[in-house]
Amino acid sequence: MDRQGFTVLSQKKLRQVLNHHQPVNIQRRFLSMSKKVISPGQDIVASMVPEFKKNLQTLIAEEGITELEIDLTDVEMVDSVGLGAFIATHNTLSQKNGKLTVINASDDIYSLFKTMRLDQHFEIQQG
Amino acid sequence: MLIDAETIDVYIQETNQSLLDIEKDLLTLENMGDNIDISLAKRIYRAMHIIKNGAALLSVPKIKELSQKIENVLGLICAGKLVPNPEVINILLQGIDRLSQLTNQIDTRDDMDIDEQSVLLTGLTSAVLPDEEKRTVTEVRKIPIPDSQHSFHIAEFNLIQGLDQGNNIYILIYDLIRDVQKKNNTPLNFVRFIQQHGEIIDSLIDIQTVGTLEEYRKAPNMPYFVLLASSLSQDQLIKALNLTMQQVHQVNTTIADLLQPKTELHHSEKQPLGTFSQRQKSLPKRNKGVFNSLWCELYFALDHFNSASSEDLALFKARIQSVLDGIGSYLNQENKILASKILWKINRKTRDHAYQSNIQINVDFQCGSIMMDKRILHRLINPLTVIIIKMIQTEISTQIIFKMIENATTIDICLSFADSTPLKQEILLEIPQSEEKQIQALDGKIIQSFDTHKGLSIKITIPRNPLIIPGYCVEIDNQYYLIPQFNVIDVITSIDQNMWRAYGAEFFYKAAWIPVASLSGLSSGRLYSQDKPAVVICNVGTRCFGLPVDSPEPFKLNGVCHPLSRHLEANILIAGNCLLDDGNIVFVLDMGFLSSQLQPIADS
Repeated sequence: MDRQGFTVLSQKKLRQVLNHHQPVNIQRRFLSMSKKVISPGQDIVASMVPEFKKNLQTLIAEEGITELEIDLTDVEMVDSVGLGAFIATHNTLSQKNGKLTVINASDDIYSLFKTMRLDQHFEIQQG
Repeated sequence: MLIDAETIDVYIQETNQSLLDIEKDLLTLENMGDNIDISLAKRIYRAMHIIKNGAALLSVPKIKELSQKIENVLGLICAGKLVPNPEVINILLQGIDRLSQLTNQIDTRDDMDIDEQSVLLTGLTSAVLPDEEKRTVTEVRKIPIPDSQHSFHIAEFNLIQGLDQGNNIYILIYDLIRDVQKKNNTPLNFVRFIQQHGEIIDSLIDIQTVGTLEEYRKAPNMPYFVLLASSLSQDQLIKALNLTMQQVHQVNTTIADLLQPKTELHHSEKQPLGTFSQRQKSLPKRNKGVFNSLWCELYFALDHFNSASSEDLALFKARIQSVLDGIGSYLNQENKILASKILWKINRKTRDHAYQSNIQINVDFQCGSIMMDKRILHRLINPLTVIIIKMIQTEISTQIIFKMIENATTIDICLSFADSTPLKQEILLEIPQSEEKQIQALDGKIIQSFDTHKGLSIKITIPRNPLIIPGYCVEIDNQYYLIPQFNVIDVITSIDQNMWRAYGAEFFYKAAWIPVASLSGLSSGRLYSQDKPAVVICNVGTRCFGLPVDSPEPFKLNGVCHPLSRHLEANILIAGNCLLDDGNIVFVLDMGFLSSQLQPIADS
């Protein structure tokens, strides 16, 4: 299953609705409480993965985040260890019925995730 | 996964918009005939792919299934295996209509079936395949991965496509940490490296082995399996990819039946990507048969002509004339089609406009059973659509009557408002110049008339049987020329002279006032058109010659012949002239005269 494309817009629009309309709704409050966007702002490579992984663990285990968006703005490269971090995050969230979304992926990273069929496991949106 | 109502609403909006765009693009694609714009085809394919993925994400199986089937057909078009002719486009549009209905009734989707569309689309996909491959479109093959619990699940169709690109299919077994990370490589470069040696049909990472964040170690195992189609042998692949024997497994047993020699696809379905000579060979046999029998008739008549007495001459003349009439009427009939079969697309295009403008447009088509040349009909769609939209924009009415009237020498298309109320003020449309030129290029005229009682009406008059010359439009010294198609053997854009000479063609260096290149100029590397040489290999009778031209890729044209102006009538090199849709003039070269006048370079 491929999750790119259509949901790129859907999610953006969904966020616009949530951000701008600010409706008072229990479900949306709950969504916003369990949802978090993190922006590493640097290449996801072996040297930064231990710290990155620790942050992710804290978010999921301690803050109860189940819907996680990883914003890849300014990320130009993901190495194999970095790929492993994405997969491990997906596996952890799946156990909690959560969802991982990767947003703003560069063309290269997007193409890599697609070729490796990672889009069949979690959603990837192009930047 | 729970999907909230807002996400579904957004999905519906986006999909509706995409479907409208796809519809429009498909019509554009259809109008391109054989020379389709691959980038446009791919754009349509991607848009459909996105709709399919959205449906999969939202768990809407019928939309996913139908969009997958449409995507398969679009994939064949992109690959040049299926020509997007009106029949193909109609089936695609039917599928898109049903997709649109399914999307708008997403909550009651179970009430609507997709059987009819599925059968048509699957039929279309399998129609271009040899009989033994037809079922491959729906059959899924399981390809187990050695020493692993995983398998690839691939449609046979995809496997066959892979086999078309490479001769062998392999499973490559990697570990992304051991084989990539520890070799200081990046996954992206690694994948690109594999792609240099074949086509990745599918791949998968064993994500369970990676584990969760808690289980994740600094250097975990990350098994990665690639299903690769490659023309390399197993030994060559091992060497090229620097792998061990254990990492490369040729897939034989599970696809043994697919590895049997395949019958060729029908040439008529492979037309767009073939060379010109391939396309010539792909003429339907039916046509060849008809022409052969007509030719035999003609030969028989001519054979008796020499020994005929003067009394018999009239009889033989009549016989020859009847054969020529037969050829003429056959050629005419080949392109004749019911006008309504093509012009319905105007309805679709105006409907697109209506959607965007949020208005209702109703065009009442009254085409009767008028037959017209389909090449003319296709070129009428755009200007007529624009005129109808311009009429709607007058805000007099949104109900238009489209009426075709057949006269002795012309076809009139009359456009008027259905419920026009008397108007005091005269209103005339500002028809854009480009559309006006498109009508003029067909030797047609647009006449607007205004009557305070009857309102505004527009009459487009097109010659009933215009002289259409199919040919190749080339550019020589900033002037377009049309070389009749039956004189063109091939169009070569390579600078390799051996390729040109393979035709045994002579190259000409000058002809009256048409400047052509000198062979010495070409052989010394100084090309006629600096960086973009093109040679059209022409054939007139038994003579074969190459005509160097400026355009690197001469385009195919169905030119409607117009009478020459009195200034040009004296020029015996020009047999006629055509107008291009953009208003440019194209001269039709008299190839017979040209070949008789040119001197081959060897003689000079």
